[in-house]
Amino acid sequence: MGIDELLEKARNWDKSAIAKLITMAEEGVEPQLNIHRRSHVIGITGPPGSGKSTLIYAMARRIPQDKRVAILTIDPSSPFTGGSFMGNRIRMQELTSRPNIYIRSMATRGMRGGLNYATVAAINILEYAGADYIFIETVGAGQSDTDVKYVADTVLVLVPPLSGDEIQALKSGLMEIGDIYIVSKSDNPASESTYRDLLAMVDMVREVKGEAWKPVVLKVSGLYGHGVDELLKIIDERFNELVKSGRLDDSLRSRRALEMRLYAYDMLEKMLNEAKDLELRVINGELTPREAVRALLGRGMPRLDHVAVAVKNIDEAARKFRDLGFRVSDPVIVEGQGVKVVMVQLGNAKIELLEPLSPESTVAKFIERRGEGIHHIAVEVDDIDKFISIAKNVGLSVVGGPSRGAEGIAAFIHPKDLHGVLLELVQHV
Amino acid sequence: MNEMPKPKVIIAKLGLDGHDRGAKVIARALAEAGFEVVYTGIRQTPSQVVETAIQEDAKLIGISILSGSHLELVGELMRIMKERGLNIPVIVGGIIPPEDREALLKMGVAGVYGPGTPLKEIIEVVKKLTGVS
Repeated sequence: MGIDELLEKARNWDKSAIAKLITMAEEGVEPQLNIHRRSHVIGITGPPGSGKSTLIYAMARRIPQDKRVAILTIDPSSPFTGGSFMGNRIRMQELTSRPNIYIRSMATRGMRGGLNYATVAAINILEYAGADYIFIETVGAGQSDTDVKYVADTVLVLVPPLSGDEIQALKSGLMEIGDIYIVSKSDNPASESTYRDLLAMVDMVREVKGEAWKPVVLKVSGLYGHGVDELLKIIDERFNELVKSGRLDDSLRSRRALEMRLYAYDMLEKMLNEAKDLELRVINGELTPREAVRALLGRGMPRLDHVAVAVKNIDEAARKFRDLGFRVSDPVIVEGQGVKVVMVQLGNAKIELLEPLSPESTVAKFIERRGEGIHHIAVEVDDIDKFISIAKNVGLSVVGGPSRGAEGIAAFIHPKDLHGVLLELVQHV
Repeated sequence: MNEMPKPKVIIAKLGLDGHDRGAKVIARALAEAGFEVVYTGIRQTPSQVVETAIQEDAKLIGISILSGSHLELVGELMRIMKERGLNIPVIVGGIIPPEDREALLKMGVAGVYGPGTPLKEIIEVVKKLTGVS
């Protein structure tokens, strides 16, 4: 079945088509969807065992059955085998056969922020399919679990009773992303003191974040259903408010940006897995870890820019290179250096032919002393000032710069300090 | 992640049967082998299992039954799968008397594995049935 046919079926809440589209998204297919906001995307996060699945079950079963409800529940993948044991459905299975409810388990597949790009793609697919509510249950890994805030219109943070010490830990991560803070398992008598702690914490954070930050704090028991109706009412009111104030598109924008970021992380992960040679060189101490990363991304390492050759007759030299099949530029006079220059283009570097304009030029003296041949090697660096200071620190004399030329900023390291090589540094601007 | 994720499989307990130690061990072993394993929990109806497999786009269903109702429940499962157009392999584990094996295989079950089957064998069977080399 083609993707267009699947999309059309998904529009009619065909769960098999939705499931296949999500699998395709997990495999890297990027369906082009024109999304008009209609779903209330609700992220549910909190520590493992805080009651996320049970609360989603309690909410979803109370939502009128003429509303389409999608539940994405995320479990961790093993970083070693890639496998995943996914048990979140257990608490929701009673809802599996309801026509209005679609439940999908997704594995993190190596991502560390709790979501991966396929999760975001799945949200897109479900909104396209016309879901009224999309619940996203995160892995529940504390501070690293905050990506959900970029895709959800509403974030619920669950805090189970007797987690007083954990509230301290939650401050910097989860305490910043919640729209609704929930003391879960409120059937437990200890929930009252957790509730008070949480209220105090919210007050404290509000002093820092400002009065506009007004999260709700609620006590809920997913198991017994206490407080669930009130929670759903608050959720719906919030959605209407977002629609009215036109802020619903905010999370669509951040959703798109997050998908890009997550896809980039995934590609980077794949590049790393393929770069075993670089890894080996780091292990053997040939490269520092950071040098290896910059090399992986093709950045940060000095690159060969050109090799300069001093010649007596530039027209003759240019003709020879042209005859060899190289692309050769027209001669240019550079008065400042007293030379005529021709560039021979290579794949990712150049050969620079230099003919002196007068017997006084340094290039003329070079030829007189050593004959025709390689005059200097030029490398391109990202930060010439930094490079110059490193060169000076290791006791090399830097001459003739940094000065601004046609190609950018340049400076030279004297050949007497570098085994007879005149090294030009170039920073293109 | 060292390998591409393997296909998603469902492990389910069918019927009024709370003995799920074996099902959990199998689910865990398959996860160790790199599969994404959705465990449904106990007391599932055949239609719940089929719906789960559809919504998860699963590539295989593993059923565990120790209650003795395997012929009725698996028969019902196969019937609903056919009705819903779900065409993926089903394997059955648990306490299955030898004389019922043939009946299950005739229903279209891809394999029946009783107690004592080595985990490695189960993993190899699931790999083969889901097309993992």
